Amino acid sequence: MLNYQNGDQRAFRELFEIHQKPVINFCFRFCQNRALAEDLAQEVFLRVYRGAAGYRPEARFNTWLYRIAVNVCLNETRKIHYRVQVDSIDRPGPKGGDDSPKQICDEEQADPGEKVASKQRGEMIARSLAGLPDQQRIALALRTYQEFSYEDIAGQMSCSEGKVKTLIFRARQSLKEMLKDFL
Amino acid sequence: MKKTCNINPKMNQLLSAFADGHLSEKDRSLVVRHLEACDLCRDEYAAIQSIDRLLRKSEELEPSANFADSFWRKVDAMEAAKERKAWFNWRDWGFRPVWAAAAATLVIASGVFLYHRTPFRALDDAGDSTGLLIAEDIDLYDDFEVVQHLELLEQWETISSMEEI
Repeated sequence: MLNYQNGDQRAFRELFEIHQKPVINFCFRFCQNRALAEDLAQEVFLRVYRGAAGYRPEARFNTWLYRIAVNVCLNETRKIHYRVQVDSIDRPGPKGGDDSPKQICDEEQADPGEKVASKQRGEMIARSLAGLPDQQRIALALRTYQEFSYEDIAGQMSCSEGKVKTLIFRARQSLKEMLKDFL
Repeated sequence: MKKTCNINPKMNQLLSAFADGHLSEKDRSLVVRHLEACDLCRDEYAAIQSIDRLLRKSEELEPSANFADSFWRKVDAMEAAKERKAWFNWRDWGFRPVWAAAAATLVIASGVFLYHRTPFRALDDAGDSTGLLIAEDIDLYDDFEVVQHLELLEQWETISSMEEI
């Protein structure tokens, strides 16, 4: 990031290449819609591109990047009062592609029954995450998928560490109820 | 129905932070000792770990094929807009006395040039009041040539008679 601040355009390209996938997935976990997630991720990188001057080397780039991502996602909610909808796994994506996320488990070799069960599980997880309040979903995603510390998350969400702890605890409590059949 | 530990009702929240490794040494020891003694909290802790495992092994999108291209097009458009804006941005030009002096010189030169080109100026110099009349009633400007030769019109009868001779 410091190289980009000093005018090295290639440095920004490298940052984009490295972080595009995690940022898209963070946004997807927030909105559960691929097209919107990619729009939000592009907005995140545009803000990074424009706001390089505002980056301070005291903060890790990753922490700063996700602070922007949190703001973009929350702004989106405020802007259009987006109601999270989980697309059916049978419904094609906006351009006819598969909008459902890939499962990390080795489904390629799994039998059809296991594939269906895995898809159902993935859909149920998505639905459960979508059912969480925005702040709980963001705090849990930052912790579970991005593995940020409570301190980092507090900085990204502009709140106290105590609040982060409570948000994550409540999110887990809700998920425990919603996903009890899969635990 | 939610079950709460009878021994320590706050243990659920501590277990969540414990799973994330975000407890003080004192609280961590408390939780470890408690887990050894409480089946309910052991189940709760196992549930937290299961949730995390479940979340981690699901949902991983690959960027669309056109994601990067689409992004760089936006960047190019933004840069182009910035350049256009910068050209008109006076602040970027900065205040320099030379710009002020050039502007003042241009205004004065234009004024002098226009003053010498105007027909009013020629008429005024000739002591003719027609220019003043035109200035007061701009419609007369349409008939400026007629106005300019009013003397001829006033003497028209004399001139006509002279032609007849």
